[in-house]
Amino acid sequence: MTEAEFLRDFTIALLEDVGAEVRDDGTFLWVTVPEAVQTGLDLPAQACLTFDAERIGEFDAELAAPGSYLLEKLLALAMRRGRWDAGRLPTAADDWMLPILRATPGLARGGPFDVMECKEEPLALLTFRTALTSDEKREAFHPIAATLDGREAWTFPWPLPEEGLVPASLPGFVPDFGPAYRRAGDVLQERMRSETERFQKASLVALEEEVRRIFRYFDGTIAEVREAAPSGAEDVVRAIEAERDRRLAEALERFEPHAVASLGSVRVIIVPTARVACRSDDRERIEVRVDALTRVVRGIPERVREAGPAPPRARPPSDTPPPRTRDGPAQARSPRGSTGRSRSAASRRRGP
Amino acid sequence: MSIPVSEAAPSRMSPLPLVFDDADRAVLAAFGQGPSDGPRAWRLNGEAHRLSLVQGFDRLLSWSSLRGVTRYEHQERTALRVLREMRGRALLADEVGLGKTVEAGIVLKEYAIRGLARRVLILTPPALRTQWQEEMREKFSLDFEILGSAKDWDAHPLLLASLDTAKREPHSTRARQVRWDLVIVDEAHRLKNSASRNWRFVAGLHKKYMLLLTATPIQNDLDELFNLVSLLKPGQLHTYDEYLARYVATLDHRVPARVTELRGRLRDVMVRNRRGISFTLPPRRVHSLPVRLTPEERRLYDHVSEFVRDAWGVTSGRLPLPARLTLIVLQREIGSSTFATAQTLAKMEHSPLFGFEEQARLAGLRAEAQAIRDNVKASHLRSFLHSTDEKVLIFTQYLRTLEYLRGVLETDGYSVAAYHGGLSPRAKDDAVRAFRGDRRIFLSTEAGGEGRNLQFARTLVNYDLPWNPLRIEQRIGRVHRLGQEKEVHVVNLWAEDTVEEYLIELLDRKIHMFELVVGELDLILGDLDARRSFEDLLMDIWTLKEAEARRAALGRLGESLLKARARYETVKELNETLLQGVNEEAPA
Repeated sequence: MTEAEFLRDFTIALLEDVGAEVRDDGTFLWVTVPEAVQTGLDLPAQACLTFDAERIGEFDAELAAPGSYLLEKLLALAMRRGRWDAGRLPTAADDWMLPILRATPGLARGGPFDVMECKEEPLALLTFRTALTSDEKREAFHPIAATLDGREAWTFPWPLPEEGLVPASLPGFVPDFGPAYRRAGDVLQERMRSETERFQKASLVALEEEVRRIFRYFDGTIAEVREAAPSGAEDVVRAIEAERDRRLAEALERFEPHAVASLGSVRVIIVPTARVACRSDDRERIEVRVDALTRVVRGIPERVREAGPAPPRARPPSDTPPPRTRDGPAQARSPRGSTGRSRSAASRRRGP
Repeated sequence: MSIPVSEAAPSRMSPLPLVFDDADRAVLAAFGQGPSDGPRAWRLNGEAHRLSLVQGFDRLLSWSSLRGVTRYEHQERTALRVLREMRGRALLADEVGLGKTVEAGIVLKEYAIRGLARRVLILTPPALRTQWQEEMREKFSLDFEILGSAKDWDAHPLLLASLDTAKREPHSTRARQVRWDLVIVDEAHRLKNSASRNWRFVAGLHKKYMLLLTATPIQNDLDELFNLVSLLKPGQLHTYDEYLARYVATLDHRVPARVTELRGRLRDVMVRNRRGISFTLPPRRVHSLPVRLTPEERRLYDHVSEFVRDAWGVTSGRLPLPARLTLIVLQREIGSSTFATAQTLAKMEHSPLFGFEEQARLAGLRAEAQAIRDNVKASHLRSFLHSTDEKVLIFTQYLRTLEYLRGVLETDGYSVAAYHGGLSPRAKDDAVRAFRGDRRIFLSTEAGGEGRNLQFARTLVNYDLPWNPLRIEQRIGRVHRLGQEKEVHVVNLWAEDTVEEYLIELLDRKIHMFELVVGELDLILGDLDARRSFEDLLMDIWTLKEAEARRAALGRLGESLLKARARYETVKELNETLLQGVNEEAPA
């Protein structure tokens, strides 16, 4: 699917989801916009949408394309909605986990698979957006599942298939998301580590280069001024120093790297989970966890995964890092060294 | 502040912490509050995040939302270089006519889409503010506000200002208080002197990214190049003394040394695309059609001009600005048609801006104008149209003239597509489509200059001539642009012994404006008078009482224009010589 097709499908699905009537004639979308979202989308009751900038104006069509006003509004609407949901995945078969385990690289296909525990358990599906910014920006989307007690968290493939999922009303169910959120945060940090390091390094190299150049230029200029007028040039020198300091502050602000994560949504699904004892390809006995929704097998030791055959993997491996305390190594220091803390780090705290 | 380099930019990194958003609490707390939007909404929430992700500058995201912008490889390459390699600080020094404005617009849009540019300042010469505003709106859907009062500095995140205004108080102080994400300076050669107020003002702005646009970064000597580059990246060309020692060969600072090395250093901050074969436009042919007014039209023209001169002379400096502008409009309209003039005269005769005596004169003029039922210029237009079977664009400045011409031409059996500012976007598109289809005549007011590509036609008639030469250039640019394959014909209709004859005298006969590449005229006119527009200079001359004085003043303005053009040619040559090869790998 091309990006344009994806955008078109997204737009239609969103508009329909908010109750709009949409007719797609292949070129334009003819939309009857419900009153409730007309203001938010800044659209009239009857609107014509196009995905081709050159067709704007025909039928007063509004453009939905990256960078367009309407797409910004559509995205904002979609992000305001759907921030939470709850559901259940009923599974009829008792051995739902077997096809998943048999397809998992590193595990002996023939078993035996010894189901130690099988139960229904609520999982929190958290979607995060991360942004690495300096004078550029790199963003990523991270869907992470976590057990509500924070015992375990792992990334899951997006989008999840919706077949079999049924809505669940959970009266009186007031989950404490704190443990799941924190564990998911740890997974996210771990997942981001190498990219963050690369980004930080590139930003600081650019900053260092800029700072060196600024010092060389301004200090050199001061030396030239002093040489040309050994006395009486102090006013000029002070002005140059002030300009140098301003440029340095500007450079620092421009290149200082920041890494930010924000939660987009949370969904709780009550889902069959299992603890299974099995054998690795080299017959080592291991205990793994699996669920019927994300179908990600967790608990396979790294050496087993590395030793096993490496067919294309349908599911990502478990991302759960070794547990550590909140005050452990994850509490990072300022990129500016010991002399100061990052402004944004100081102004933000970890979430709940 | 005298921090050592190693402290300001530590080579040994502490890990960068991933900071979680405080707003996450609210997302979690909302769980179970009220009804859920449902599983599809949850999935769409995720898709919306995915769709809006920014992945560095791996590719340009803005193309699909740009309107009326033809995709040229050199512009795409330039934008990516500026974003990736130059990290948003660049001197865009393309030769005239290769689209520096579009390149800057693309860079701006890319930053805007990524949320990296929210506060943007564009500094232009006064005459180009409206053009920039239109272009940003039409092509990039970016609504820039033109600086009016000092309050605008805080009120508008996208601001357009003339450098001349912005550098003065109270604006200068206010501008320096804003943290700009991006500052764009058009015709940046005005920053050539580091001791000037212009340079110091721009240097003092707090900015993250900066684009300097000029086809001629060097006006006189190599110091200017140093000053421009130092504004972007101080130290890129070393200190001034080192620069002189390394890269300047002569005492007049006009001859470079170590040219290859200098070009190498410039390459890090400058993009200069040159005109290649694919950017050579077909020739333009200019046809001048002088018209002798009928005795009635002549009488009206002289009476109106006399009224304008009297009112201008008596009230100059005392009458409010609206009255002065009204007089200018009236003088322009009489150069267009008696119909446009009659309408304005009817309004003026009841305007409190004018005294009883003047109102009585205006009533007389209005009656005189209304008595004229046909304009001789229209007859000349009809004769011209009979002589060709091509599609023709006819431009006029005034809606009333457009309506008159439409009646005349439709009576003659021509199929006309009318285009003016009062039409809805849909009606405008319909008009362009009709002209592309079976309509032979595209009759347009100035609104026809809004970024529409009409190069499927090649014949253009200036039924009247705007006093702002850049407007004339914009009209011609609708057909004489990249993509035009045939010779273009420009027909200028003008009446003898009128302001329009002055215009023809100055622009066509003196500086051969119609032979210039689009964009070169800005540079010539910009050199003429920094404070006063060409229209003002023209009005100054026309309102002189004595014909002899008018002729002498016209001669002086012509000489100034000639000098400005000659100077431009010299500067162009200098830049071509010195900057050739800065982007040797990337000729357009």
